[in-house]
Amino acid sequence: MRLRRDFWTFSALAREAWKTLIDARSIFYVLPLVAVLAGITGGVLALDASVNLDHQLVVADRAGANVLTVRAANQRDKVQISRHSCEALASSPDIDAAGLALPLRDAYVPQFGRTVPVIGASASLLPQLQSADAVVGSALTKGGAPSRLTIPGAGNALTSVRGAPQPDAIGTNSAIVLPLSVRTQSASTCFVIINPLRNATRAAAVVVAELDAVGGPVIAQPASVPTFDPVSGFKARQDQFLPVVLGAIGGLISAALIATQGSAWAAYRLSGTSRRSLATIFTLLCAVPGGLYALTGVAFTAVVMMVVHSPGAVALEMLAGGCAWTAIGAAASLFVVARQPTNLAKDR
Amino acid sequence: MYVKVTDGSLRFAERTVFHGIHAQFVSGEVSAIVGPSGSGKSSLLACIAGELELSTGTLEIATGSSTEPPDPTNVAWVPQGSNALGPRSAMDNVMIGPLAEGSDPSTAAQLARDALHRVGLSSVAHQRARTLSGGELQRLAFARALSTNRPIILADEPSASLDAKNTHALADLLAALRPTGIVIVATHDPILIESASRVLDLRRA
Repeated sequence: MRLRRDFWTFSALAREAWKTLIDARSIFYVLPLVAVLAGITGGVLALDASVNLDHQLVVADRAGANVLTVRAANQRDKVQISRHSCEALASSPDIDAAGLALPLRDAYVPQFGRTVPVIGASASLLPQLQSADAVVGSALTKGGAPSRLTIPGAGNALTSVRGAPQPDAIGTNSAIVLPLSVRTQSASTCFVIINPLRNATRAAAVVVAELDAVGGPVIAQPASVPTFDPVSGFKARQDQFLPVVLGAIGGLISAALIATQGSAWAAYRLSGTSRRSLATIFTLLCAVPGGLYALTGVAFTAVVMMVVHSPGAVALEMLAGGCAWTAIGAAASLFVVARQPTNLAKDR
Repeated sequence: MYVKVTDGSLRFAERTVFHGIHAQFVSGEVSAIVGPSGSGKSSLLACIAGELELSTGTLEIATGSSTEPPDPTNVAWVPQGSNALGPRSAMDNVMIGPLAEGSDPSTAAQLARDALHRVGLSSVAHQRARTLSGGELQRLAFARALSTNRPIILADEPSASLDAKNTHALADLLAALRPTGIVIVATHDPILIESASRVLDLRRA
């Protein structure tokens, strides 16, 4: 038996597939709609995973998981860490803030009507100190900070701002923080806040190497060691494959719709259309919604790019999902291609 | 041009579909292949189309002084029932034949218009196929076959779902198609058998 060939041009086949897809009365019209919905779903899932990660990071941050406390390795040593070397860490990559934080005294503050702890801290550790004379710990006030503070020994009309919540390990949330005196040139402890997306334990060796300390060796330890690493969990999460799974399901839906239209495909085959050309139409019938799916997912991710972690990776996952839609849909339709046209003609 | 079957037989595993067939189908005639269900009418059409191969015997297509084996590209099929792209227009349905032959869209449209005119469907050319009646769909299938300009038209039970009036109209259409080439109809419809120029009865073969 001879292998049948035809003379369809690719543009004509593409036009046939396009007309089949965009006709509102065609059963295939549902595919672009499903593709857009699935694309949005894929984007929403990525957004949800990022929001979950952010929440877990906030919890871990508050517990001090990304705070390294650098102090003497041996408690008997009287170690002094250079303020300059500690504050200089703040400009290192992967480090959000670094500096000294020393308890100064407890002082009666009239604006609060009670005695509160006063801490001196580096502006490199608490950047809000660059714009105000004092930072009121976030736990001291629920609303805004008093515009002026009176702190005995420090001043009567200090400008103040309410501090952003800091990791508990630094101890500034329940205190009033003043800029550290220029006379303070060293301390026994240096606080380093690592980027939440980085592993604090792994950064410890680098931090220790950068510090200038006298009086003995120093050690950098996380203020709290979490039992669960949110970033590793995010990277290993199984739902990152959901865009591909959604694409595969889309491909199977496409193939199922194709299989229900045997009578229509018979019209092509009995008019001289070869198996290869029919397979091309089927591939296009899957590729268009697959592409639309990927495009919608990528567009959604672009819109929420500032919120989604690793938007590039999410875009790649969506593209992989689009490819899965096309490949699985086309492959699952091959049995229709393989059928004898006279048998296809009997489908109703 | 003619199709010649010499001592043709077809077997599927242990089952013999037909055997000892001698027949000749000639250009300019409408030939009817008749016989009860299961007698091999559709299978013989599939052999002529090159979709199936005879188990024994020969099947040749003679063009001028040369003969060649069956070639699907010589054949236009009109299947049992009414296969059509329902949501698409009658024009679109007919155009797929010429497009498969490599015609550009405007040429294909002209061929489709001509074919629709020949089967009397010009007035519904832009109507969706799913809105056509059974008889119109059957004529649409013939228009699709005609639009390819293939020399052999095979029709498998084309009147299966038609009433008497539409079957008579179909018989008239088949008669009009005689100059087109070789027209072979597998049927057990007495109206179509009566209108055929030549009848091959598989029960007697």
